[in-house]
Amino acid sequence: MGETTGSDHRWVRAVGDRWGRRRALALTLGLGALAVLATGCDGDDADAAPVVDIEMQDNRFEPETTRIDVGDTVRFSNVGAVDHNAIDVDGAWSTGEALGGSRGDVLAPGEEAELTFDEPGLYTYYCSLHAPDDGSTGMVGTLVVGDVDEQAEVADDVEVVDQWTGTTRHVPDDHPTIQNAVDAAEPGDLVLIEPAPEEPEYEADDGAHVYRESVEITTPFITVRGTDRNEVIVDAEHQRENAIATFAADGVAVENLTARNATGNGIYWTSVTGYRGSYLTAYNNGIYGIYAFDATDGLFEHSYASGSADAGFYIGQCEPCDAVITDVIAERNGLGYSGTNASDVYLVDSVWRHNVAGIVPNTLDSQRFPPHGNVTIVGNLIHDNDDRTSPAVGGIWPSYGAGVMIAGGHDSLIERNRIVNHTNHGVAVSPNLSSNFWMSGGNVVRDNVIEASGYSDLTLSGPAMAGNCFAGNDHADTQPAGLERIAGCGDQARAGAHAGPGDPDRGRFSLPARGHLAPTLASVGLVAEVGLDRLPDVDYRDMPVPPDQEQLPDGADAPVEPAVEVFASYDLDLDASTVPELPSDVEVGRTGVASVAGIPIGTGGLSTLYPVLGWLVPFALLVVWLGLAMIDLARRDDLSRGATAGWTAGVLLVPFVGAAAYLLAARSSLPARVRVTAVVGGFGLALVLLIGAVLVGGVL
Amino acid sequence: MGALQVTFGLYATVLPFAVLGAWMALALWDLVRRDDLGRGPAIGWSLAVLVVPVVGAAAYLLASSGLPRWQAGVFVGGGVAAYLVVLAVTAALGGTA
Repeated sequence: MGETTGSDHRWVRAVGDRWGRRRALALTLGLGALAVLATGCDGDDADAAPVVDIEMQDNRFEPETTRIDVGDTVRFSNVGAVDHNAIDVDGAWSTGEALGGSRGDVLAPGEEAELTFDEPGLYTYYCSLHAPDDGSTGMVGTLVVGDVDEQAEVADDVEVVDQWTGTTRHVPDDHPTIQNAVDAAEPGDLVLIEPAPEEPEYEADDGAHVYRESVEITTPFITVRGTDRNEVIVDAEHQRENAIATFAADGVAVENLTARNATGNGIYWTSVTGYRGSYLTAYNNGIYGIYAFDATDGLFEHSYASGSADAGFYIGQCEPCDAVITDVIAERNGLGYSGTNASDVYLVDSVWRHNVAGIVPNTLDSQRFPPHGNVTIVGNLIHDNDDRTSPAVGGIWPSYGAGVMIAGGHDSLIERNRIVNHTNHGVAVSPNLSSNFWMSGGNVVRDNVIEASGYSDLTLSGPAMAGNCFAGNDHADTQPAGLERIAGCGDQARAGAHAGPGDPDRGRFSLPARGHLAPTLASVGLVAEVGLDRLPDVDYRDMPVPPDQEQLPDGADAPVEPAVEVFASYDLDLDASTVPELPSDVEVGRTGVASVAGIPIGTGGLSTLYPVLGWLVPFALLVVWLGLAMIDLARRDDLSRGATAGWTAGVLLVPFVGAAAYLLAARSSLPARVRVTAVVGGFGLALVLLIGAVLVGGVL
Repeated sequence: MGALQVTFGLYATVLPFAVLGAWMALALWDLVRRDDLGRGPAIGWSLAVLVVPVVGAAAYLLASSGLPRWQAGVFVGGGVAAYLVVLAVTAALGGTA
């Protein structure tokens, strides 16, 4: 959590928010003290210079251009979910220095920094986590102080280059570093990278010869290609944020190389239209392996990610994303796939194994475009995603042990996947707690083969919106029981015919009330377990080096195609996907995990206690009170038929309060001590237990 | 997601189980206090109430209990009616569950 990352997301925010608030509070107090010192004995200044606000969003400054008068104060506020800073490209000022730190220091979410400008000037500033340091693109802003003519804005309509220029820039022969080559390249060029020379300046700690760089690509429509996927390695050496990052440069393709050891992300695109990653390997990166944020029209194919502490593959904040992920392997990451507020994504024919959780599309208020929806997950092999020896940041754990979890999304399709060996859920459709409480609706789960799930093969966690449906799955247990009967699908809701919320037959056999509360509370319990630091903390840097991966066919001689109209030109044939075979080395079967009365026992600790206290105990109280009230009503002969019917309606229709009011207030035939003990005692004990558990767990 | 929607959705989820629990408690209490049943019928009805979900308890209350007919009707019919009302409101609010 403390790392300065550009991409950390927490899809259940309870823990992160609390910490963020605490830090913000500390900072606010600190700033207040500074302000008092700075103003000294001047007292209140009635003509205090105005304060102009600039928001740091994920990932842009709002407004992008700000004009102030000389003497005004600018207040930068991080309203996003991840760290940001603001640094003048010429080094005149930075938010880090304004807070008494160093130039690159960041503001955590919720933090603020104020700077006062006493001279006229024109500044271009950037966020060092989300833009190159020349402020040419990405998360940049312009600040005009006083009477300065702002340069006429350069038209940013870039000419689309959809063909290779014929120019190849060789690394290291023409350019000593990859960064030199991509800076020199014109749109449409090929940057072709040979394995790093066997010379001391290229030698990494482990003896491999690598490019010790953090490559920032700002030239659109170039292709960056290694001649050998396994030998061409860009190494951030656990010191640099990204190994390869593309900032606001459309149409960049990265192919046939390996990126490793970034504190943030392996290979990353942001704020682009058109991107492609092919035959890529990313391992042991602190946040994401292969990653596109605020980007549309993309493709990840034939790629591999392991040892990512957040997710192997991540697509975030786009609607529609128009992105395809196909023929990839994600193993030993926090999540195999994470997609925050990412709609219209296709995950096809890929392998997701031995992550802490498999595929988790999710919704957060901290990023734009909530909620996510229309994610199509077809033809994947998903197994053993409950691996506690894989690295995972805290926000991952609420989804622990799930093959697929839809967390607060709508109208996604999960079809023809093989989903095997998960401590908790094969497929779970769940709500997600962010600033808002996002419930899932309209999701279709059908024709999957699901085996050996600890809690249940199919789970609908409550509360949920209408229209989630389950049909044709080869499965055993469900929670709640009989899910395919009470929440069946219509005939139309399948791949190809998938038409979003308009499907007339979706959920035809559905009752409106179905979801099970216990698994939702179990997820809250896992958040609490994270807060108590009781879940495994595996260092992503210690994960093993993956085996060699398949090369780009024809290698250096493969056709050069800038990433233009990627989605439209991709031949996505969902009907061709079938349920994958189970590899012979995967043994089906779990032991020692179970549930009792819908309470998950497998994960233990607060993830078991919370469902007991938040679901089973209140439920039992309701039953006892209702039963007691009915027995009492039956015993009495002083009530008319009308009064009996009225009280019965009251105790049934008004949850808890109706029965409690009857037992406490009515002229009951039961001794008062029995009634008072049952109502006040039961309620008080349950409340004390729940409050105790919440305090211990630190959630809410 | 309105709070009302969530509240009704949750109650629609738990109410049928709670009603079942109440019916079973009522039926067992009634079986305990009766002295007009032989041991065989008492055991038979107890098993039916415990083992046959929903139907066992409802059938005992309506057909064989010591309760006045109208009272059994209020408890059994009221339980069903209450569930239907909550369901209908839930569906009208947009169908949460």
